[in-house]
Amino acid sequence: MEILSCKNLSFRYNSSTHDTLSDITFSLESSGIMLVVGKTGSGKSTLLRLLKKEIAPAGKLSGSIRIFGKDHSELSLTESTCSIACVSQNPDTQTVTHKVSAELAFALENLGIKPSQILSRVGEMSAYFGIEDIYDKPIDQLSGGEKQLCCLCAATVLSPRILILDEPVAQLDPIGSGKFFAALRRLNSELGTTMLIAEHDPDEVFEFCDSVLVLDNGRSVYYSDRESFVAAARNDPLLRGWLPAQTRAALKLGKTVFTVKQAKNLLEERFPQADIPQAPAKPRSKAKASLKAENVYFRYERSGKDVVSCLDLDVYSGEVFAAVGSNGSGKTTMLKLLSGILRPWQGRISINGKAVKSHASGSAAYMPQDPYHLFICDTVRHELERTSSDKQLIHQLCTDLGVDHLLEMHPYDLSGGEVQKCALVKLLLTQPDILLLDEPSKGLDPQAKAIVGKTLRELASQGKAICIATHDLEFAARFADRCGLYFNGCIHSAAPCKEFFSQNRFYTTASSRIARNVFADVVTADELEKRIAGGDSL
Amino acid sequence: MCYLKTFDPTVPMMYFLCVMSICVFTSNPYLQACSLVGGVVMLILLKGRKSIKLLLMCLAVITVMGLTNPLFVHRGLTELFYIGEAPYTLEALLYGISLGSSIASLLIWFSVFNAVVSQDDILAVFGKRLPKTALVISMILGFIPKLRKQYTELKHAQYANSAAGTKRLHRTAALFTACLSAQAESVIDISMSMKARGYGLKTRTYARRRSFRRTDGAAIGIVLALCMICYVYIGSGKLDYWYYPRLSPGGFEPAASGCYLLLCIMPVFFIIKEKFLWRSCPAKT
Amino acid sequence: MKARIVSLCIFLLCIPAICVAGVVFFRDRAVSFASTGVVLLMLAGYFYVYEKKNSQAWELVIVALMSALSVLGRIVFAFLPSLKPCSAIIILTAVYYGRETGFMVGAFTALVSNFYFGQGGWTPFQMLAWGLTGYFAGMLGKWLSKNKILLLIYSALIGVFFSLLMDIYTCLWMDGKVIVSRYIVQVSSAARVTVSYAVSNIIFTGLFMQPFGRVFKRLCIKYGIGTYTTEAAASERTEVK
Repeated sequence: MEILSCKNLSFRYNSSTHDTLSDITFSLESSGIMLVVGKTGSGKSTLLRLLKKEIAPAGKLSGSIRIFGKDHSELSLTESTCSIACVSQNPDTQTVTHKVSAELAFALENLGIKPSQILSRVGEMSAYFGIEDIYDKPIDQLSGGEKQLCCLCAATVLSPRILILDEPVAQLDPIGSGKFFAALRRLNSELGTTMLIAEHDPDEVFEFCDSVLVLDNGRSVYYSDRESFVAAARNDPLLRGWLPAQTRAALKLGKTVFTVKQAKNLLEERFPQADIPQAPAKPRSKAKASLKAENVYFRYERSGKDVVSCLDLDVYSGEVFAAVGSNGSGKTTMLKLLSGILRPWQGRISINGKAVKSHASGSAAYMPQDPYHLFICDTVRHELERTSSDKQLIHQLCTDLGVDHLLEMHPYDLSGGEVQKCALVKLLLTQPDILLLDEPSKGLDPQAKAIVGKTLRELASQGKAICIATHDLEFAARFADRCGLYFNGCIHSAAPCKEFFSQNRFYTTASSRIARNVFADVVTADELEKRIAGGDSL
Repeated sequence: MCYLKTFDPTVPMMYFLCVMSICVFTSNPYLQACSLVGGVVMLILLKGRKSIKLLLMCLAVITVMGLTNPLFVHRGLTELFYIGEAPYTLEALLYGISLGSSIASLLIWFSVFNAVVSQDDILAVFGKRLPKTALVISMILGFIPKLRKQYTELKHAQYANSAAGTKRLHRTAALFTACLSAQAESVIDISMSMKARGYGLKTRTYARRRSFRRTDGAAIGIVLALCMICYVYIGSGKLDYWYYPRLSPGGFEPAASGCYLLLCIMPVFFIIKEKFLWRSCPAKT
Repeated sequence: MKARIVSLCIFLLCIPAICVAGVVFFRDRAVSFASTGVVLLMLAGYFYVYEKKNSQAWELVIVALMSALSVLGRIVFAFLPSLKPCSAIIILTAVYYGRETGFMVGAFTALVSNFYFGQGGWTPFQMLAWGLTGYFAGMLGKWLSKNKILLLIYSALIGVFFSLLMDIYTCLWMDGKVIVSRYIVQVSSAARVTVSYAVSNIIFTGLFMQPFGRVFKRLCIKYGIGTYTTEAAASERTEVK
């Protein structure tokens, strides 16, 4: 049964001169899952918001939206609230109240339902999702993944038939997003909830979606079911960019698979002769470390637990070092220590042989997880000129990083990729030797990630020492020289990137897991494709 | 304490209102003594050693008020000595002590109130009658940690750890306003999230954890009855007490004072009952 | 409208009743009983009206955000003894978003900050004092938003007013009535506090005036939030184009 459909949908914002969405047609069967992919700013969010009446943006709409077989103008607000639920990107801007229990009851309270009924519905919900242990907690004490799960529960407590998700895991680490998607799949398979998921990094959704809509610049580039999408992607590099590593690898071999397991078997069947692992890369020449931490300990409270303990770390100039590890393990704390924002109670951190006394030493620059925090002025130019009076330098850096057209913008109007670059300009103005970046790829679409990664590589080639903390293994594998696992307060097994990922069995990229027994040194999707192509031609 | 929590939050709120409305406004020394005794016993039972500081402070308040009142007020016939021209009278001294003890008992009772009634209880009581107000309070409590985290992050990102004097004021103000501008961006998202979940469609209700039970009604009934008896006595003028020009001879009414004392130490009964219950509790291993 | 009538009835019927009750029951301390009752009733009436009013979602969020901000201000600026930014924040919010928002932000600031600093008999008085701070600022908003000097003068005066009101509270609790001599002693002994209120209001209003104005303006232009001079915003928008 068709539950939701759009026909020739076009939309123009009131203040805009061009269509944000034009001529979009799709239809969604009951309990289907549709994936909407597209770059940041391609109109995904606008499309999703248009489907939910209460939050639809103001503007000129043409074409038709039919929900439950009715035109959406006939749908009452109450109906729309009860049958369509919505979860968006940032859990912090969705939670309204201070406690999980209040958040879950919020929607039911709004509809004026009796208190006793509210409690039974909420209880049912939290038992179903297994969140009883966080039920009574204040929301600010939850991890990002728990917060987003709480948002999902709060949205689905009205038992909606359609669930709209706008990049729901963009802010989460792999563990959190895994749990979130598990909950979604359960909702879909046990309750038959129809879902519309917008993503710019659709690896995980691809495994369980039914149809795919690709948006570019407000136009629908491609719309079909998943299998035909993969078939079409064979000849279209643009579409192929949206496929997960395992599907891309299998596509090279002429098959359509969706899971790592299948791809791995396929690859091992096709290349029975295991690749002989190469000798590990030659050990680094004993260059002097640019940034050195020795036996560093740190804790936030006197009687608390050590967040960083017995940390040893060397970062050399001209390299990108990536500390990988899950959220909340203390990576951010480590970067703050290295930059001198926090002081260790034990141990020594030195930059070019000089001990870091405080941030005033100035040769290490720190980029926070949320780069917007670097901007407190009203325009980017204002902020940059506050940081440095050298206009020549500002101009040069802006042209180098390609941000000169953004200078007059308000920082909060920039997109994620743009603000990363502007933030880098701001950091480079202090002419640091060392750059410390916290989650530089968080919330970015693949294109923006590539640009940020390339910029980092260029900076490294100019002789800067760059240390990033990330949970994005793919990003680390593509752009880092060396990686280390941050776990339990210190960095374990720092090694050259390839060695690191090919030795890790669990905590590694999908490509490495697929190709482990065949091409031992392959860690990124691009490399895997190349090797398969090369292997085939042999 | 936990046993007190088994009541609907309206019960302790109503209880404190009744106790405090009498102890603060009356000038009858016997009633004041009752409320002080009840308050001190409750405070010690609830807070243990932590209550010593407050008790010392209250003692200081009573002493200071007692000693200074005769300096402003020169009424009363029993003159103790003269300061300059003005007499220092016993009545004014006692009146000062009475004032001091009403302030002290207010402090003590509010301390007990803060120990018994939590944020959520206040929200629950508001939520019953004023669901929107309760929602706003809950939103404020949600915003505070968000803003706090934002402030710390901004401070770290801007390397604004150390500075002093006006420079520090300027920096803190800059960060503080940056906090606002960052959170202001989320205003639209939050209001959208509220609308998406049906805010404004119908009249709001409030999900209370427990419903109002018969025991709650009974407890409130007893509290109100005791309180009313006191009020009737107060209204009839039998508890009138005056300090000037001479201390009034009467004002002691066993029934009223008894009722008020009973009211003040009523929760003690529950606290002790709980202790006994735990002593014989099968859950104790 | 109905809510307004009900609250008017509360004022007309209950306030005399409270006064009479005070005189009947607590002859000696009738004034303090009656004043506490009146303060509580005024708050109750105002909250009742607020409850019945249909507010937009963003209005609630703004009230919550600004109240939370001024509670945070009490914590963040704790390094400056006796200088508090709360009044300044309340005044600025009221100027831009009107008297109702101003009153609610003031009242909620007092109520919620006392969750952290301890509730007491002063809570209702503080709620009313800060609420009125915002209410008057909202009433005078038209002039205050145009003239910065006027805004600074207002914030200084309201600081003094706040202090005097809290002095009345102190006197009421000490004596059960306002003894003029005691009140004067109280006011003069609290003169330092009064001055610090006025000074901190001037400092913080001065510091926050422009950045807050920019933030509110941006909210209005970008998201269409707020009543703040819609025509001005519209004209600016066309200028940008």
